[in-house]
Amino acid sequence: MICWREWDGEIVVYYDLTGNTHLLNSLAGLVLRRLAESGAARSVAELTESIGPSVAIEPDIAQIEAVEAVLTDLERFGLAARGTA
Amino acid sequence: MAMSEQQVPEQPSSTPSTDASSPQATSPEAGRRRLLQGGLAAGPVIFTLFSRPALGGGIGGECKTPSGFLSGNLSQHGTPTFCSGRTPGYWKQSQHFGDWVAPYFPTAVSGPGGHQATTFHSATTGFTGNQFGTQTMLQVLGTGGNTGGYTALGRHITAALLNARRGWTPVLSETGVRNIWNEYVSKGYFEPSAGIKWYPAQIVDYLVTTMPL
Amino acid sequence: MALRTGAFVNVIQSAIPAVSEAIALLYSNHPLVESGGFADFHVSVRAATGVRRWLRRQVLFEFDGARPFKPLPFPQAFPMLEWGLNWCVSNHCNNLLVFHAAVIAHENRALILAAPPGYGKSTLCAALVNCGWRLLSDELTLIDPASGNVLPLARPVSLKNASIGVIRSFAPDAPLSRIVTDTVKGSVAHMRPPVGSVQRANEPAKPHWIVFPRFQSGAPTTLSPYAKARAFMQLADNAFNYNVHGKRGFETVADLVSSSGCYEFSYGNLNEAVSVFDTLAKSAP
Repeated sequence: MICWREWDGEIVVYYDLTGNTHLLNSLAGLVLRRLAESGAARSVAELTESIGPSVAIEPDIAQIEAVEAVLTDLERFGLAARGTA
Repeated sequence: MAMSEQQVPEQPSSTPSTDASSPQATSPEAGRRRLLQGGLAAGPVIFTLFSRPALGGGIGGECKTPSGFLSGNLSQHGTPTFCSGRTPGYWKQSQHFGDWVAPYFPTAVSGPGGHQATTFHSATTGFTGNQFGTQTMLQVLGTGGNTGGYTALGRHITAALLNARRGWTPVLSETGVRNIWNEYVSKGYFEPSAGIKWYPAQIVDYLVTTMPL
Repeated sequence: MALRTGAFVNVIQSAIPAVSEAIALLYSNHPLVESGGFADFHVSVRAATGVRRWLRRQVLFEFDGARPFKPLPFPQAFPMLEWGLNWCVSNHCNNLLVFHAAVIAHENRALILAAPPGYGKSTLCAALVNCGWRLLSDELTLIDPASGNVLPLARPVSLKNASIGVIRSFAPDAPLSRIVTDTVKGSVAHMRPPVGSVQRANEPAKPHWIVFPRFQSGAPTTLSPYAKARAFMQLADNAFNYNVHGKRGFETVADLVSSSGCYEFSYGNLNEAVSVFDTLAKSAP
């Protein structure tokens, strides 16, 4: 079970399986939120599209790559899991 | 490829701002503790508080959690938590066998109510891997030198487990000790904090601080 | 003797004159409790026996008959008692969230001062409680997860090194213990808590402000908002037993941060600092 709170675009997350608490930047928070809202598996492309222009991503990094980096990080801490398509 | 989240999280609750001045995501002043120094990652996960034993600080016999030890500040929290752990040398001496607390036993005892000597790699200790084969905890305590780079670690991790069981190290529980060893087995190092890697020598350095007696 | 400090009853045994003298000075306003009744902590501070007793006298702290600490030099007997009592609270109160932070209150609105050692938190705390703020604790902030309230301790305020002289000048009438030198923290002394703070030590306060102070000589006095998510992480990282509480710990700290104004505070002049806090106190709820 993941618990979270958000203040001004930054999110703190507690994951009871690991007992770890994380501070996420706005993009990571948004990605995690989109994953949670959908309740089902989403592809990276779908996720990126759903986030859209709501978060500023540095123009020289492709949006999908940025979301990928977020997902890799979230996976590292057990907050998201890669499934088979 | 698809991503899925493992559990359905609770809905995030945004805070209605009741403050006189509305908080901005200010850029933190440099030099303020781990959140602002090297501990801050540039990536999506900015900072992680790992589930570690309750914080502690030391006076004299320095004694902290692994992440507390990282910051190197002697009297970090001002309020002392002291460890009174014993060294591997202490635990291997027969006159101290009485200090071992079940389920860890130094030697085998036969007859009713008897028990085996506890093996280092066992369900009892929870230590994974096979670095020490079928050796008992006592044998590992008695191994000399630092063969393979991990025998010194084995001696100290054994002592740390016994200390934790005994209640002599408030900052490091048995689970904490197991986590250190098992992470070393799986990765070759232990990460006391995101991005920091402790190899066996550094883990030993840390464990020694919990064994002032 | 059995002393009540906020929610806790401490039975303290010591035959060391310096300890009795310090207790008589610094705990003179604290209620004594009938001995033989329930106590939270049974502690004693006594001279170590053995050869060292004559060569270089040492002192031991005992808790429930056990000795959790190495001995310290004899002159440090009273500081050792205070440190030991802090240890008792921070290690044995896992029904509460315990933070390493000072906490004061104005009209029952609590202000938590969280900072690492050397950042001027204790000096600020000592000054403010001499200017009308109620002392709840100079070292350990206790939060009751059920109510979210701060529970007071109102024990002596610990001062070290330069801050001893600063507070002596700032509040010359505030009773201070003898200075004990050469401790691992340098020179330490303790200030008696104001009688009003001790009398109200059974009154919880509601968290209202969280401030991360930093003293820097010559620095301008500035109070600026601090991102709540970062305040959360700082606080949780400064809790002794955040992990023990699991999800409830997370929720408690989150509620604490949500309901408080979070600030960082930089100061170089104590009088100016006090004045900023006075303004804060008068601000709308």
